[in-house]
Amino acid sequence: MPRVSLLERIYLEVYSWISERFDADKYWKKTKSTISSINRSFPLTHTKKYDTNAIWIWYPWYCFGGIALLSFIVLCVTGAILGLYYVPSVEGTPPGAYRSMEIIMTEVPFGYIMRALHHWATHVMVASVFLHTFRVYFTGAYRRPREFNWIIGMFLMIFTLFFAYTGYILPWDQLAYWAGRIGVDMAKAVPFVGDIASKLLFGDITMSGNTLIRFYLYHVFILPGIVISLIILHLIIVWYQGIAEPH
Amino acid sequence: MVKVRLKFRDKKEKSEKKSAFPFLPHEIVRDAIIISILLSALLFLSSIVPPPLHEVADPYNTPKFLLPDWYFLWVYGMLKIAPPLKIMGREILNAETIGVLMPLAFFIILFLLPFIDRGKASRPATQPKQAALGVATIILMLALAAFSLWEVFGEAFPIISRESWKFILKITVLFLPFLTFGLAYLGITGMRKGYAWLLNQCYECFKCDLTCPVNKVYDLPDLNLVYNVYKKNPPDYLWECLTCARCTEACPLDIGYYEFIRNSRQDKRCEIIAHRGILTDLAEIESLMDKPNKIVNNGSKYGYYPGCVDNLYLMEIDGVEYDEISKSSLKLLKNSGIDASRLNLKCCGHDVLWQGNVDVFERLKKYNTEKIRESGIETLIVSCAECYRTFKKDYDLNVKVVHISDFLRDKNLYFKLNNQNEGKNVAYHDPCRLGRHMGMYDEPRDLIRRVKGVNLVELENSRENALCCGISAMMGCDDRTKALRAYRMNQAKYKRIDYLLTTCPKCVTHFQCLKNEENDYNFKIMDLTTFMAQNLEENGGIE
Repeated sequence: MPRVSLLERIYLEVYSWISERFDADKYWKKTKSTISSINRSFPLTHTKKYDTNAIWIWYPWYCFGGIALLSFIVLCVTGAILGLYYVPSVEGTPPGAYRSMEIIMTEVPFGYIMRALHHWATHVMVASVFLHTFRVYFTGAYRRPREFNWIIGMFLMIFTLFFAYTGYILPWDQLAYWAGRIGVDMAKAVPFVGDIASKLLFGDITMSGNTLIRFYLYHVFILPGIVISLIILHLIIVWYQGIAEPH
Repeated sequence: MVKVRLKFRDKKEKSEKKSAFPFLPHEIVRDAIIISILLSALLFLSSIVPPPLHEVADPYNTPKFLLPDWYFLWVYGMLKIAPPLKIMGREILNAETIGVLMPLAFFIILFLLPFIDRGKASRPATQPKQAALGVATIILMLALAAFSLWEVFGEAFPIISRESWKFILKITVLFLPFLTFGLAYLGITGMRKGYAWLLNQCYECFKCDLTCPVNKVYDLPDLNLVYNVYKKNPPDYLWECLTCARCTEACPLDIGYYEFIRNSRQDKRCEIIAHRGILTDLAEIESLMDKPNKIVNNGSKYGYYPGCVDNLYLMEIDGVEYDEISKSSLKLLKNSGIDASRLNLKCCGHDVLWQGNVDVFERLKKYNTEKIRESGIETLIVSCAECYRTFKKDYDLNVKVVHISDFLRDKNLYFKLNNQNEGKNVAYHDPCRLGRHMGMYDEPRDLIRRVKGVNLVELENSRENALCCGISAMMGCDDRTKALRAYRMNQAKYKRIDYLLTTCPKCVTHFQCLKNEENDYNFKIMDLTTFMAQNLEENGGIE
């Protein structure tokens, strides 16, 4: 009879008491086998497969896609809450959009932190989208067979920038107005179709209430739909093709 | 073969089991850590840095600086730097249009990137041009962003005038990317000289294991040479490796494993040097000695270096006549019309280098390099495979180094087997240093074929697949490496040859040693030069 310590004896007593009444042993074994079968079915990640020090230089670069997704989720949640209080209007003094920003910042409960999170998550998302693109470029991950996903990613990058730009206009403060002016001027500078492009994108050939409403529509209605569906497509393709590892 | 396959399968299964990686705790914990760090960072930033809300929009009040958010600065920089397109004094496109077309073109190039660049490499070190281009693009974007801020710089740092700021930043945009491209390209190609990135490519195909002669006799479990030694797991095979380069020959990725071994051996001490390390000690003493300059310089442009066989002939190990090698070489050279001066250098340092005594090697190298420079020769001829490899690859000589077999190949010499009674089947054993290290397989064979009446036989493993004689750099001579030697000698025996030729005195010595011990082999073992000199027709081949 091997020596059993007090702690082990207590554990055995309790465990056998439960096991006798509820078949705990059976379920415990089943859980264990499920866990191990899940573990076995998952592919090895590159960190473990190439168990070397050098991989840790690369490893953080593989996080930026995920960080962009995570900050996008944060943006969706905080943006939905901000959308409850925001008014896309240039009427009145101060204009309705600006007034609603003031209300969000000062009167709405947790309004300040929601806007702050929305603001900072934007910066994190844009930065991580850039870094993710650099990672894909430097590991040559855009090549065969991942050309299609690279193009989707490029669209996502452009839409992210457009997302950020439209969001920048919405508060209707000095910064927003003049950033909008630069955009309108750029659109008008496109050869041959300048004015049409400006009217189509900005709703006018200068900054006005039309521009604000149009940008509000882009920011809360059109772009989220496009970007969410593109992200899902992007992820499905990554899932199917696998991550391009630096062999 | 079945056994080998079984072994291979076992190893594969073992490795898969070993590197299994549980998803459930590991990945989830990792993701949870990343998510919590990100969310807490966001909350922290939000609570201490409030989001800006400036004064209300006013179309009639232009702010001092018109600036977009930071991620648009590079586009804004393009807008600002764009010059108008003028042809023959007429403005075809104005500056604004060009400024819009530049980012458009940039994005179009990005979209088409996978169709422009069709390479296959997947890490910066293997695609230096593409990676350097990427770095240069990033720098260009940063420089453009800096250029868009020139008014701000002029206001904030009025050390130099605003216009000078603009000029400096414009110059930066125009030249810094090119400079960065060059520097990044040089840096990345420099990285390729290291071994870490190369060994890291190993994908465990086990080809090196299956071809490794050491693995055949030592039966080390789960060797996987490249991968394991790189991971130092376990590091015990460091001195058993014969550095015969068979693994590199078999490796689909051409990983220079033997050179990696040599680098790993640096500053470590081997305990199992054969002959009680006397040859290593000799080399060390020689490297410290202040040898008087005894180089016979007869004004010739050709120098012949006999190697350490010149010193070894006093020992007469295993009945090999070492001085015969240098005598024969000089005789052959003389008959081909070249009066080579015999260089009395120190040891070339091959053995100490591969034993990890880099200090000793460097001293020998310094002495020899200087003496070769002093002697005024233009071509250095060597007959030893090890010397050839060392002078060619490990020295930085400014003279041409040639192996004697390569040198004599197109010289006007005539050979005829002078003793027909002794038989004429000759086999050539490729020494690893001349064959796989230097890629010389045909030169010695061509020379042997020129001897009239000789039938050149190929052993079972020859050329790239040649087996090792079982000794390298005078290390680890024991029963197991002797088994390798016996295996090689048996291959020669089964071919019923009369002469076994090689170009490495080390191979000659050790084959001869086994022959003396076993008394089972009735063929002669000779250095290539000795054989050629014996069968040389002095009168120019006129019959």
